[in-house]
Amino acid sequence: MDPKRDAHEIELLERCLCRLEQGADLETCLREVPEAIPLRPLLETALWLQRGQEVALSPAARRRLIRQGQLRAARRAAAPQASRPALRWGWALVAALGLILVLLSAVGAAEASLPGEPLYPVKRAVEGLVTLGMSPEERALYLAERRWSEFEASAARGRWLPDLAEESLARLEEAARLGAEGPAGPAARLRALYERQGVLLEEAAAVAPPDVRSALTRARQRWAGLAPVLGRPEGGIPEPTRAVETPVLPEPTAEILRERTHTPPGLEKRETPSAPRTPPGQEKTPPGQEKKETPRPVRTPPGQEKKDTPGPPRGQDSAPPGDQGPKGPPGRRR
Amino acid sequence: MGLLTPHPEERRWIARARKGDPEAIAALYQHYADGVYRYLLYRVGDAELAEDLTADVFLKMIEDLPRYEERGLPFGAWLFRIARARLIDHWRRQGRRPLVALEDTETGPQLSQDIPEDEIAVSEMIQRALRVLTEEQREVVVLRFLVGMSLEEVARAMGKSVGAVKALQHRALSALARYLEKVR
Repeated sequence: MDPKRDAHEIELLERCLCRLEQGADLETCLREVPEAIPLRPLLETALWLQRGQEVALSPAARRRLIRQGQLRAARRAAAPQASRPALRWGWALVAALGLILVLLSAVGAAEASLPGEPLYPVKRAVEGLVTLGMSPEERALYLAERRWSEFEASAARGRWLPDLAEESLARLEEAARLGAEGPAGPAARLRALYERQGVLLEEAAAVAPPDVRSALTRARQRWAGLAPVLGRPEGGIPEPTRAVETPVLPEPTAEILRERTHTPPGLEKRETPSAPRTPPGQEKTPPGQEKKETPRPVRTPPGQEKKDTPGPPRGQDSAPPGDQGPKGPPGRRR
Repeated sequence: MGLLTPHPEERRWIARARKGDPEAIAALYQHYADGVYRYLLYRVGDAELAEDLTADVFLKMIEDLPRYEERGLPFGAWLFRIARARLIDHWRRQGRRPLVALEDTETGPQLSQDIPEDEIAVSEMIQRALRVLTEEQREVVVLRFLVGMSLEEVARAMGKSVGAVKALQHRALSALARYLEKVR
């Protein structure tokens, strides 16, 4: 078929259909548009189809439908109007509670996260909010403790993160400077954290892999530099232990465990009521106290002598003299 | 009267129907029910089913009336949209198209008992004839000649250009003319 002729025919047909819709009869239309005479069968078909418009719902069906619609509308109108908004509010409340639950779960899960983990940024963001209402010294101490806990946790997994140590030290220094005259509670916490840091940093300098050892040594030097601000730690500042000299020692014997229960001279009276518990594996002498003795005796940090390390019953000591407490990598001991 | 021809009182009816006024609801039914029914009847080929679907369309209209806003979409076009959606939903549930094949037409389409006989004759003939058309041609013919929409309204309803609808209409009328010549 010729497309041009086709298009012309389509237009002619539409022209005639419009005339028929306007009320013209077929003969009049064909007289007006003689070119459309070949389209007569199509136009007759269109007129025949329009007879189908006479089909309508039966009066009975129409009444039934109307009644049905009116009933539905009446029920709808009678239904308590408040119920729909209430339902909407109910859903909104459920959605809000769900969201809160999800957020709380995320925050809870983020609490245990460490740097490099997906939820760690959430933890830091929550920290930012939590510390909003704190005083500057409180905030610095809180953050110093948290960074140090992360450093300890990652060290326990064999990951040494000097940045965390540095951040914790910086916060500790800030807290010390801001709150030097503060109340006894924060001061004790400061002191306890400082002691904790010393213990692990000394160990880190010895057992950490070579790629981070220099950074950890720097952190340890920084820690030692805080002594004028925080006071010298118990037993003074130890020399860094050299990695090659770090022996892997056997499990603690009964004798060593008993020795841990003894408070070193000069530490018995010290009051550190809110000092945190020493993490497992760090129950040893504060840095510098017994550095000349090899192997070093294990000592309990100040304030924890009586509660953290219950000693074995006397008379059960069977370990040979000179047997020492655990001294492996922190991860294995925890 | 075409499906999309608005009544001068239509806005008032809609406003009152929203509040559950039975008279306004009856008026909307009276004005639009035949157009919707005709469309559904010629698409499904079964009067009883077309009645049920029409009832569904109007119940849906009552449910959705509070949300209807006249923003360039006339009420008739909105109602037609509901009818089309209901039809598609019906076909989806059936898992097939509605009209039976040509060879099954000997029994003729099912028509309601209370429709006048001459109407039944015309309606039956039209429904048989529509079976020679393609799906798109059938939609154009039903909307244009049986529901009474304008060319532009058909094009908008089908999401096609006016030119494409004109061409479909031409081919559909040619096919129907050939069929009618054969059966007469």
